[in-house]
Amino acid sequence: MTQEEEFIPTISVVEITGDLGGMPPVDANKLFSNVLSEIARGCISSGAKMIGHIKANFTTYDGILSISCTAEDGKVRLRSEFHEPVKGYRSVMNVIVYGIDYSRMCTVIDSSLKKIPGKKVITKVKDSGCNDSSCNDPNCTDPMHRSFVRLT
Amino acid sequence: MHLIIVSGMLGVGKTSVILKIVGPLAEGGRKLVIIENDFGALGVDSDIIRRNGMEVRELKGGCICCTLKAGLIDDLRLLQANFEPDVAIVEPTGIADPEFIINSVQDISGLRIDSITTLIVIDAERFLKMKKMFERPLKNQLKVADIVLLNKVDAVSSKDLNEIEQGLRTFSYDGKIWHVQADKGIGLDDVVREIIK
Repeated sequence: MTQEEEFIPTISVVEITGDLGGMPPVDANKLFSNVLSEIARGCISSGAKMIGHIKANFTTYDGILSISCTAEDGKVRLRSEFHEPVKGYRSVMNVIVYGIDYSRMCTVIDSSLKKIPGKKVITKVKDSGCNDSSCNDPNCTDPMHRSFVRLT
Repeated sequence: MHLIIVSGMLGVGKTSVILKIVGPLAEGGRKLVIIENDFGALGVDSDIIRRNGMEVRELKGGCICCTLKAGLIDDLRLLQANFEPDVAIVEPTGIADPEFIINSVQDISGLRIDSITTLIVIDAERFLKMKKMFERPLKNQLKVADIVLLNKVDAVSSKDLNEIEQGLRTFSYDGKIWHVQADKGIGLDDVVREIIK
């Protein structure tokens, strides 16, 4: 089986810390939801076959916005929202998409994250992968360790 | 200890199901633990569960059906010895094969599992596409399913629901298909009653 015949997800884990300077909660909910929507749509327009799961939690001292997106049109579902003005926040975002290479995915993510105003620090989290020959570790960099699913 | 494995493909709503079933499961004083197998070194699902007031044990950076199998067994042993839970809920990643998990926790010295319930969550909105792309993993998951939850049923028409149910039957699953909306908790009380029956 060649790598072209396999269908494995591409994964990016991003950590963001920033400050929205007291943005109203409704606006912050909309801003971050739009970011995830744009990443989903951007991945699809860059050739991705399917959104596996794009999900993120944005946490403040007293609140959490939890966003999930699995739709190609970028429709999001919110598990919880901000109810207070948003100043400093921290976020962990998992972007898991099928049929797109990592560099293209990163271009889409970087472009979408630029739209978040205010000071922010963005870190792409590196995972070490594993050494197990029976691995299904989605973060593993060795394609021979991946869970293989044929493209249909 | 009753082990509940909440499995399913990526983004089907596994964490949403867990968030809604833990309350009813804990009724009557049952002690619960949740083991969360997140992608990557920084997890998202465990964070939201923790923010909902629950303690979560995380297994990160690998998959508990293979690379972190030993970690899962160690955690279950440790939790059983220290906490004596009545129920342990395990959420694997969306690529895990639940059969590997079931096999790996049985007949392990120092670990007493009285019963295992495998919940497979299916995304109604994307099932027809997933069925074409992920036939093998879906088949593997449904093979070991005790309970199949068809989630996000509000997002599809009744005609599509029929087609989805017929699609599920092609994987040789002949049990009941429970229609739920996990993010709103709709349909999950009956599922909990079925689990604890």
